[in-house]
Amino acid sequence: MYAIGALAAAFLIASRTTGAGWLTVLLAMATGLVAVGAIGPWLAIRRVTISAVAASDAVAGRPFSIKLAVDGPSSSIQVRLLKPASEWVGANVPNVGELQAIADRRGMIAQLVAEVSTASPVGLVWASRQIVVALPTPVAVAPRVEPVAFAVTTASPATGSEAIGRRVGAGETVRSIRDYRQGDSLRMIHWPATARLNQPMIKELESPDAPHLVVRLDLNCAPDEADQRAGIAYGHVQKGLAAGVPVRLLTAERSGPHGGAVGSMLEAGRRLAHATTGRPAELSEEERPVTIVNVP
Amino acid sequence: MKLTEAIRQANLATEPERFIAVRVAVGITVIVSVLALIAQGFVRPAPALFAIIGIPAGFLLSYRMRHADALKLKAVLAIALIISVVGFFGELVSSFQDGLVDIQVPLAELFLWVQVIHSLHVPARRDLMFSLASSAAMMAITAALSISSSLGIFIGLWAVGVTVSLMLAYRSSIADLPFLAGPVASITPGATKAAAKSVTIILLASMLVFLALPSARASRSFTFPAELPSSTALGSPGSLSNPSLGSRANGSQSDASNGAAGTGYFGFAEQLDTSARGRPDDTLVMRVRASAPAFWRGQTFDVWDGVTWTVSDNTSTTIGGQAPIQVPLTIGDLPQPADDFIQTFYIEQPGPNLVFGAYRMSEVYFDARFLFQQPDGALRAGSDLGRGAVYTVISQRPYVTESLLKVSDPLRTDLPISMDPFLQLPDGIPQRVFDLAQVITADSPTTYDKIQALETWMAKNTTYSLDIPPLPDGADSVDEYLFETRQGFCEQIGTSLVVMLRSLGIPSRLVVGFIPGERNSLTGLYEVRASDAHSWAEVYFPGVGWQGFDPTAQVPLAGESEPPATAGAAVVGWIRDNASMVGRTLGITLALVLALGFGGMLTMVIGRIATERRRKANRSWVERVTETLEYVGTTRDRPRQDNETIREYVAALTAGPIPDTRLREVGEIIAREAFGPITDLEGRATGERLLEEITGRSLN
Repeated sequence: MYAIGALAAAFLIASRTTGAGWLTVLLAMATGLVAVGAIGPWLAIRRVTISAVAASDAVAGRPFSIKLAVDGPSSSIQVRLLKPASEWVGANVPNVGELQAIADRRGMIAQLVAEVSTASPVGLVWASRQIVVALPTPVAVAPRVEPVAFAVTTASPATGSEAIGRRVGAGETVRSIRDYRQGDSLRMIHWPATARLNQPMIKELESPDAPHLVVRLDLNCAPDEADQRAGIAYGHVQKGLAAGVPVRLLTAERSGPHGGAVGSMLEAGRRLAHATTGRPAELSEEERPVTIVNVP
Repeated sequence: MKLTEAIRQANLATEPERFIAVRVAVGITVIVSVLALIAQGFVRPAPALFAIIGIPAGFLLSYRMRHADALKLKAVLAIALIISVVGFFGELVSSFQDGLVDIQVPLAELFLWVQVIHSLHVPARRDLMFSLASSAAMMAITAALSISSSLGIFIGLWAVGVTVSLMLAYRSSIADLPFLAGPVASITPGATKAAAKSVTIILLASMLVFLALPSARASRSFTFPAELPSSTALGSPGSLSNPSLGSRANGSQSDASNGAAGTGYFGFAEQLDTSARGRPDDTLVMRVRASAPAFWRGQTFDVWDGVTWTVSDNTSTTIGGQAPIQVPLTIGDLPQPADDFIQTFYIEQPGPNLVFGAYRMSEVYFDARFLFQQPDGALRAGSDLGRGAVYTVISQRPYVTESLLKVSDPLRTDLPISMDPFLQLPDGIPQRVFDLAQVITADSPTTYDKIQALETWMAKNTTYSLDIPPLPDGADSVDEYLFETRQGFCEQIGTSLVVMLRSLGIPSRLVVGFIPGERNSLTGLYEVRASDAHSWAEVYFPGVGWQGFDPTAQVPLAGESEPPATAGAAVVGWIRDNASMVGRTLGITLALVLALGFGGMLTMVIGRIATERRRKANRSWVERVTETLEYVGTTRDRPRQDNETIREYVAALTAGPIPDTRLREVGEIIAREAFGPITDLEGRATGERLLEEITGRSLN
């Protein structure tokens, strides 16, 4: 760009000195090239549209796949996501493909912020634009699993970060049924309701009588610390599930306190993605004996 | 760090360009710029041939060695470059020592060598872009030196090459990134269409810019080209030769009087017969590079016999010895502070051996040691001036104003005896010619006013024509023009002014030469045609010298006209002067453009209709039903918004107090069909039925 500008200036000076009209022609062409080089990207970038579909679940700090459809006037562009972040990728518009993005925080991602940039057609001047892309299905970003010094034993109730786990199997009473969600265990399908409604339904069980692990997560703190607390809670859930102990996760969501069993890391991740500030659900009086891990 | 290591670090190659298309595009562009330079004749055959072969070979070699460590090669190339630059300066110094400051050939060849040397090492995209910039510099040199309109073809091709090269280089840079749809194997798909589009837009933008740009004008020349290819020395040194006149070389105008056309002008001879005039055609006889228009003066006549002009003294003086040749003052010339006015003449047709130039020539760069000067200051070459001859003239143009000329009145001064020949009149001029001059100028107090009065009278009472009857035997040419035919051509009109001025005691003479010619706004050169041969008067003013006056037309003399302000105005002027040819060309072009445009639009419309039909035919059930749902929404003043899901849209449509549950059900069916794992034919039938109920029309 600067080189062409310098050339144009040289053409101007030379044409004014020598009287050679061809230099004026070259100057005009250099100016035309710069004009097209500057306006072309700006026009192209304004008409670029992006739609996206992402995986329904992700973990903070780990790449997850997002399918992008880039549409607009035919041009070569580069695209990256700013929220969640991704590397630049090239695309010849229109184009459809996948890129890997990384969410740095847990939470729900309902929209993406993409940056498109182009110097099309001749690569002299770059024009950029940010586009907010609504996702048809939000992405639940689970926190990073923080390592916890937590051992599931059969000893008496513990203090601190130790907890007791008891055998699995208690508490098979069906409290309610709900729609199937991706990631639900097939063991939890409520077959009579599924047959009746002609769609998979999942049973939600009453709290087991047997002792189980309860992780109560309080996120009333600064965002960074909240993410860390969620990660610690996730670590506890992981330990509990790995040990085969029923786990309940008590959180606060936008709709209010939320407490319920989590049968898998996926389910726990979703719950933690939804978790927000507010007063977490409390343990009911009937739930005994339990091991409570308060995070913090 | 050792020096070699530092150099190695600084020259670390970037990743080699992986797409051969970029190399090919840049290579072709560079070769076009080289061919443009060669075609203008500024390069000797051997370097030209070497470049034509060397550059493609260099690009090929560079491609094959793109991954190699090229430090040694770079060192060799650097040495070669230094040798080229030293050679250039050597030739420049030699040119200075010879007194001819002509850097065209050395400069052109230097750029050619740079291009050849650089082509041997262009592994990365950055190097290729440098090559492209280098080709731009070479095109600029070519453009500055070119005197031909044919350069336009090369500039057009080069512009296409630059655009395609930049476009491919950009695509290549994008292809360096991980790609959304997988690795990129080629950057050329769609390139032709995109390049055509870009080139068209760039050319249109360039035309607009060109029309608005200031017209190129030479403010100062730094080179003084002079060349005399394949010249033949004349048998008699100092004699006048004019091969363009053929058998009429001695001034016989028998053919001319019959209206014969040709490139020769009978005024460039030992005598000038005013009884009839030939019709020189529009053949381009020479081009002139100058910062302003001027009358390109050839020679003068001082002896009039009533029909024919001759010269009183035809002795030649040899001038020169070293370049530039200094031109001594002659009768009536006065040394005055003046600006240098540099003109370079490029001879296109064999013509007279007269050295043309604006009055008053002071120095001449000529590719010969000597010139021959006539007593009137006219310069003659000692050899033929054929096609390809080039010489540069520096003239001194004193700043003359109307008031200065009124003050410097020859009628109020004792004229030197040397002015006597310029007052000569033959016996036998009818008295009515003298009387007419007296009557016309009776109210004019000064010589300048008398000249103006005479010109005005002729402009009002006579007309210019080449179709006048032959002069009757014994008739006086001036009398015939002023009183009988009242029609004449420039020789008769100019002669009449000179004769009437002489009758009033004002020293004057007839001059022959060329009018400035049309300025080609592309080359910046004045294009002088055979038909631009002209005759006008020169009047002596004490203290000033000779001043030209053109009574034939209001053609401005040197310095009285400003070139067009913008390149666009220059082009418009040229179009105005060549209206018929331009009209035809524009008409054909416009018809072609309209036809192409109409055809293109028709194709686009048909294409769009076909695409739309194809799209509609290939619509999925979901798309078809969604369109109907959106139609329903539109009829209810609630069009679907961007990024609104079907469920959200249906919710909005059914938000009223009595919701249309059918729409809600349709929405659910569409959503299930769009995103569900299985196709529910029964559900689809239900959805269609509900929509048909709502819209009252069949979906099929």
